[in-house]
Amino acid sequence: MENFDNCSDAVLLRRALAGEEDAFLRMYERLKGGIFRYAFYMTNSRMVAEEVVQEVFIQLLNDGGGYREERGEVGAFAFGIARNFVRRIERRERPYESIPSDESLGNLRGLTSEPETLAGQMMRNEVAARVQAAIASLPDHYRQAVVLCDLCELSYEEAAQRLGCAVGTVRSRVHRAHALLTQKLKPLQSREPDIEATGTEGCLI
Amino acid sequence: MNCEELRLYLEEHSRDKGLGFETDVITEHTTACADCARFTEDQRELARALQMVRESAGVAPKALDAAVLRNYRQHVSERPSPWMPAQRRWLRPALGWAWAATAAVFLVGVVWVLSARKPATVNTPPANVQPAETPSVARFTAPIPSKPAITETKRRPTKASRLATASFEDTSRPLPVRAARSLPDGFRSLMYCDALSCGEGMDMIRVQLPSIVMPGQGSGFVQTSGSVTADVIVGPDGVARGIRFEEIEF
Repeated sequence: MENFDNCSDAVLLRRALAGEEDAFLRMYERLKGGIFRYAFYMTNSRMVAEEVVQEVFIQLLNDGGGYREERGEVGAFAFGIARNFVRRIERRERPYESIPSDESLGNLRGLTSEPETLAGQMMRNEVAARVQAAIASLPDHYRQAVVLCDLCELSYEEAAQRLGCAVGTVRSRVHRAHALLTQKLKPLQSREPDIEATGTEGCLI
Repeated sequence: MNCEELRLYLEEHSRDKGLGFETDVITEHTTACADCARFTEDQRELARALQMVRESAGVAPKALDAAVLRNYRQHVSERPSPWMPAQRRWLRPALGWAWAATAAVFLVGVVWVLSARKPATVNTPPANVQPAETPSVARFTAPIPSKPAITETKRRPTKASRLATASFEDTSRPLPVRAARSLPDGFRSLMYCDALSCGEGMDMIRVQLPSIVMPGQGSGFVQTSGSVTADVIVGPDGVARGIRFEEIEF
């Protein structure tokens, strides 16, 4: 297998479109994690996230010929496709989806701290699900900012490029979203298990 | 560090440092400020919650990789053969040039037809009441002179009347009897005119024309300004029927 480490995503995309499977696999390895996480955080569903990843790469193969390097990175191009798919799915699913209310979030008060046991793991998952629900209840522009900056761990500059807005706009949205999340999560704070910080991972790049 | 600086610092760096809120400066301030201690605690809890969500995502399953790779192979196998895109690349500009050439030829043809019509020969219908008679034909061969300056107007001249003021060659021929009879004295018929068509509603306008409309005619008509004055009779249909050049008295 040819070493593509020094190849940019644009080169990989061009060679993948020309039929080089190795180039495609390398590009897929680079992009899939970020797209999968973004779709997962936005939809709270692994199944939907997988669907989005598949659709994004099919779309990249179909429309990749129209990609222009001077307009941005392939990651941003792919993110734009993913965002459109997520929006389409949200429109499709919205009539059947109920966003948890603040009252249901308040029911987490009884959580106890058992970090390393199976019950503790389940509880952590539940807390994560509740936090995700709180994020999902944010207005869309705040949610996009939180998902990209806090969950996908993009820098403000990268998030601004993805969202097509100014860096200051992203920063203020993140701060505002933090304030809203703090209000929504207050009942369950100080009850969650202590966890150690993990290393940061790039999301879309 | 004051309260505002602490909040700005936390908002800017909480993402970068994860849960590392316990710096000396922050601890020193939060021990003295209850509000900032609460704010710092909120930020710490929020960071923990977001960390949990980050961990919950996991990685994409292997089945997804296989599905994407299958899609890719299908896409590659179904795409058109290599010579087809090359042919299309050649065909598209060729078609474009063909269309452009066709449009250019069409435009040239239209311009040629229009320019061929410009020095048109306007034939008035012959006086066919009596076929044996010489038809009252006024042939206009000279280019149409510039727009005449109307000095005295009863009616705005139409295009046909302006055409009628052009020079005509055949001025010596005798006018048809009926046509001559229907026009006032001194007027030359410009086209077929009889009692029916010129019977009523005739207007007379006075115009000034360049002397070129009277090639070879007597200089008694040409003014010092190089123009001639004429009266034109215009029918109810706006068509000039007759013209009379005014002779200058010396």
